[in-house]
Amino acid sequence: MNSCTEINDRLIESTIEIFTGMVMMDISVAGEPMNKLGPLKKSITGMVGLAGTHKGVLAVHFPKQVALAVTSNFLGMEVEEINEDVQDAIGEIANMLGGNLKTILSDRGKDIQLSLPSTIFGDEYAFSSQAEVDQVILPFQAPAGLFYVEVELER
Amino acid sequence: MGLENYLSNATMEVFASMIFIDITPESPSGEPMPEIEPNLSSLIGLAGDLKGILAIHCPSAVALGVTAAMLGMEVTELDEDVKDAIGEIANMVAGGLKESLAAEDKKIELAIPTTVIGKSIRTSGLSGATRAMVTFSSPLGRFGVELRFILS
Amino acid sequence: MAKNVLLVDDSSTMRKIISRSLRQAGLDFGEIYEAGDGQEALAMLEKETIDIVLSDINMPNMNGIEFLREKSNRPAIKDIPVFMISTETGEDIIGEAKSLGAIGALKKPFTPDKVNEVLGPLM
Repeated sequence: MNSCTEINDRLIESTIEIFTGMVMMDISVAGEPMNKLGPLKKSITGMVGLAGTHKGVLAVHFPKQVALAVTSNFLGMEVEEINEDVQDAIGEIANMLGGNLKTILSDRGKDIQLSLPSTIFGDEYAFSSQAEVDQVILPFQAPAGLFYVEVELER
Repeated sequence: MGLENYLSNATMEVFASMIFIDITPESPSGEPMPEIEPNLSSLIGLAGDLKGILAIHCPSAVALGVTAAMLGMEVTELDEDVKDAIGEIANMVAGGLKESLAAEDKKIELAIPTTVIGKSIRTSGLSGATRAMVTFSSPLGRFGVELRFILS
Repeated sequence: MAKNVLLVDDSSTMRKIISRSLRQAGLDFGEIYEAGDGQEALAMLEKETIDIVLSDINMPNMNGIEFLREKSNRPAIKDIPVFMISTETGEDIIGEAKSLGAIGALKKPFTPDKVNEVLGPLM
């Protein structure tokens, strides 16, 4: 789908921008866009909802080690466990990515607002939206490991 | 602000209309209520005059039983039907909340429900957000409806 | 006489939920057919004997509004009554649906009593 490729490319661009600019972390695309992620183990997911003319969800999934590294860079402090600071940092990343996605979609005349960012974490969990969505998962490589940016948009 | 009331009413309405399971809100008695330890949480974002996230937190037994009641069929595992059913409950409860807020001249839009299934899952919102939580008891067990929000 | 119903919604889970709600209402429903979008719904209406349609609004391929528009152009099926199933969609969408021929709307969550109230007169 043409529009999907364009959205993917711009989202990849803005993810790299956010990480380079704000998280001070070098990341790169780690492969082709995926359409399925297995269960997430010892991970944390930041997510933000999109509402308005386009409804959807943007989620970013980090294995613990990557989440800790991201938080350390972002907040300028060492963290050892997934605590409130990590939750806030990951939520904020989701918020920024959501904001960029909103701009990407808004350029096409859509009127979209973001919800409150939130995080989900646990020993093992599977994350999924309602069935009737267009979904894409973009894998990225960070120094501490892989992470994934997932977008679900109602058809 | 009475958001707990809105959550409670919206949930009771959904259960009374489409699920046919008796649920009772647990009133905070001053003693802290035991936390719900969910195996399944359905979340839906809210945007507009109130920015929030609404979550339905269920242990397996409640998720399975509620889905079975909604669909009129046996459900033995936390599968697509369960995700969709509890996701739909989140959607309808959020819809009820939207109506209640509209009556107060607060306009919100809903995102789409997402469901998380797993072992020892925890959810959190931004640390500065306000949290409203209502727990319910039912023949299947306890479950919780939680709203984290900030006013725009 | 038993009336056949067509449920149009892109979520198969939602169709099962509504099916169950309809049965709980105690009205004399015969077959409950299902379609995942407007296109499938039109095909079903041409093929089967259907007395009432309940349709969601937001669906891929052909949504509820487009379905109403297309249906009104087909003499064989244009007069079959359609009710929209809505969530928190605004009054304006229901208004548009009605101007395209929808008889009314059922807003989720609806009780069996509500189903009786809205569909009862057609039975």
